[in-house]
Order: sequence, then C-alpha cells, then structure tokens
Amino acid sequence: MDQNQHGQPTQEAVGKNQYQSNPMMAPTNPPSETIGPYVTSSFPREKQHAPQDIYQEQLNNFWAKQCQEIEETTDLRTHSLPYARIKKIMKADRDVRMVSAEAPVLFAKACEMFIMELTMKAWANAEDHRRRILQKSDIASAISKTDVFDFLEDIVPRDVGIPRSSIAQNFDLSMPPHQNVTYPPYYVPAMVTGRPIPDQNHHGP
Amino acid sequence: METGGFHGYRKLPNTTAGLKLSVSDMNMRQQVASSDHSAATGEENECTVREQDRFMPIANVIRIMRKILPPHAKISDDAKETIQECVSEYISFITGEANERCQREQRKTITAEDVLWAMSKLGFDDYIEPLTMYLHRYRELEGDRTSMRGEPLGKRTVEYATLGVATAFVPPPYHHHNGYFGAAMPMGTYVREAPPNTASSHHHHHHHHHHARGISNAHEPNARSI
Repeated sequence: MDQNQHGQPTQEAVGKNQYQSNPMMAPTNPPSETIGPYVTSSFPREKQHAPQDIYQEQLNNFWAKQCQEIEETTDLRTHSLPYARIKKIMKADRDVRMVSAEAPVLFAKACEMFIMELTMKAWANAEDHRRRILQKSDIASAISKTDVFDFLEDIVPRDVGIPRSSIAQNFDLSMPPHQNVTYPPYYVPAMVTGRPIPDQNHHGP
Repeated sequence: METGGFHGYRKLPNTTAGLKLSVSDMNMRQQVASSDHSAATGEENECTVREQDRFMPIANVIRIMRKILPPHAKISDDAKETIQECVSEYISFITGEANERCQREQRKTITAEDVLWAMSKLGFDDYIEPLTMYLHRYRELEGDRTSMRGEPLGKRTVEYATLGVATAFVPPPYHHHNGYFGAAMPMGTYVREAPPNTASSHHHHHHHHHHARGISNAHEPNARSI
C-alpha cells in the first residue's frame, strides 16, 4: 500500500511534465491554430456534418501520434492507470488464474489509447450537435458507429444513442395510425327492426 | 495436465500437476513457481471485489480524456462514469479472449502476447503496432531489473532506488519500429547489451519460453507486496 501511495504523486508530477512537453496539447493553444488540438481543427464549427475522410484523417493522426509518443518515451513509469487495479479487474473473472507482470503494463497503455479513441469519437458527435459538453449520448453514438465497440452496447442503451431516432420513435408512438373502417354504432337495433314484419303477416289472415 | 473442474479446491489441482510435472528439474522449478502463484491466486479470487475496485480511478480517466479534448470542452458526470464502465468492460472483454487461448494451450498464465493476440482477434488492429513498440520499450528498460532477479528481496528495494536515479539521467532512446504482430519477439540484438535473462525471453522452444515466464512470475508479485 505504501508503494501505491508513493506511486500516485509520482504519476501526477510526471504527468504534468509530460503535459508540458507536448505543446500541441497545451490548453493555451487557441483552436484556430493549425498546430493546436487537431480534434478542433478537424471539425470547424461552420460545418454541420464532417465528411468521412476527415474522420479517417483524424484517426490516422491519432494512431501515428501514439506510435510517436511511445518512441519518444524514456520513462515508462509515467503510466496513467494503476497496474494493481487492472489486475483486479482481470481476475474478477474466476476462470482467470495467473497474470504475468507484463499484461497489466500492456493494458495500462491499451486502456489509455482506448479512452482517448472513444472520447475523440464521442466529442466529434458533440461538435456535430454544436455542443461543448460531452454527454453520455455522445459516447453511445460513438459506440454505435464503431463495429469494434459492439461489446459496449449493453453499457449504453440504444435509445440514448441516437437522439433524433428516439425523438422519431416518440413521435410515432404518440400518433397511432388512423383506422378508416369502423362499424356503425346501431348495428344491433337494426336487427331488432326486422323482427316485427312476421308479426304483421300473422295479423293479416 | 488438465486441472479444470476443481476450482473450489486450490491444492488438489496443484498436487496433480506437480506429480505430472516432476519428470525433470525444469518441470520441478515450474511446479514451485506455479504452486506459489496458485496460492496467491486462490486467495485473491476468494476476496470480495470492492465496488471501487471494479473501475479505474475517475481522476485518471478524466485526465486521459482531457488529453484528447480541446481546452474549452466540458465533460458531464454521466459521461465520466460511462467511460469508466467502458474501460472495465474492455479489460474484461480482452482478458476473456486471452484466457480462452491460454486454456486451449493448457497454460495457466496470461502473458502480454496473449493480450496482443486477443486484441488482434477482436478487431483492435490499430492497437497492435503501438502496443508492440510499448512492450519492447518496457522490456528494454526493465532489462536492468531482470538481470538482478536472483537477488534477495531486501536488495530489490535498493535496486528500485537505483532505477529511479538512472531514470533521472534520461538514457538515450532506442527507436525500435515493429509493425507486425508476428514479429513481437524479434531475434535481433539490442543497442544496449542485453542480459541473459532478457535474451531468454526470445524463445526458440515453447517449453523454454514457458519456463522463463514461470520464473518471472515467481519473483514479481513478491516485489510488489513490499
């Protein structure tokens, strides 16, 4: 436990250094700069819908940057996620017996990239709707648009994922289709009217 | 070597495995390592998983999210919690696939290679190249520790301090680009002299590889428990 406590401030301290060592990620960079966060520059606010090739360019930039950062890394102790927690999640499955020391290390980096990829795609959805607050529905939308994220669909219900579709569904439910064919309300009394005729015939003779 | 079906009895499968493995010295060493680990595994599996242990720390998750978001972006609380859940699901999803491979090959320990294999099989192809580079970098930087694995636990503390000092001097980076999963463990030489233990990780025989892994696992948990 002492080791974990000691590790935590180290992570944050080194994290800040890492943050400063990446000017492209600096918060002071205005969105208009081309060197600034490519998420913003890739999706100008003037455009309501970003073309597919911009998405792909954004993704390619992301993965190229990941490889570049790994090449430039000289201290792997700047991991962002605790190994012990990862190991506990891995072992939550009772079928899992032993985990090598390298597996949580690899997962720490994998999860970091996973979080960034999912967040990046969710933010694209928020920008499409001209919002600055990332919401659960943005994450759900990102999940529904990416095949490799199918395993996450249980975490976010579908109707939350696509607001427009859910609105349409509500509209459909509130206005049932019209039924033109209806039976006359006095059908039974008409039957009663037919019965007196035999009586009249009986009185005739 | 099948030990499935008796999860409730930790010692029985070990005994059976031990009997079958006592053919050679290397097998006996594997037995010792396996036995030590299985005990720890049993204890951990029986512990109740606390609520907060099911997710990554929210502060870490938020920090990573902000690395990719523009400065003016805000994150709602339900978005933060959703990402937390997605990460745990991701770990369980990949681990489940990696574990199935281990069981098919009658191995007990999930390795980094198993994790990479599972990601590739489940469609996370973009992750393979950066993670392979990351793993190489990790093994390169951990090479100094590997050569001292035989030292008693007391000295490992000193070793960590030494590593800390070494890190401060920022050794020259070693650029190793490898874009193919099949070449995850190259046979090439490193810029810095590689210790024998590190070299042993590049196996030519499956059995030797497994043995090396066993030794590694035997030492690492003890170090963490300090």
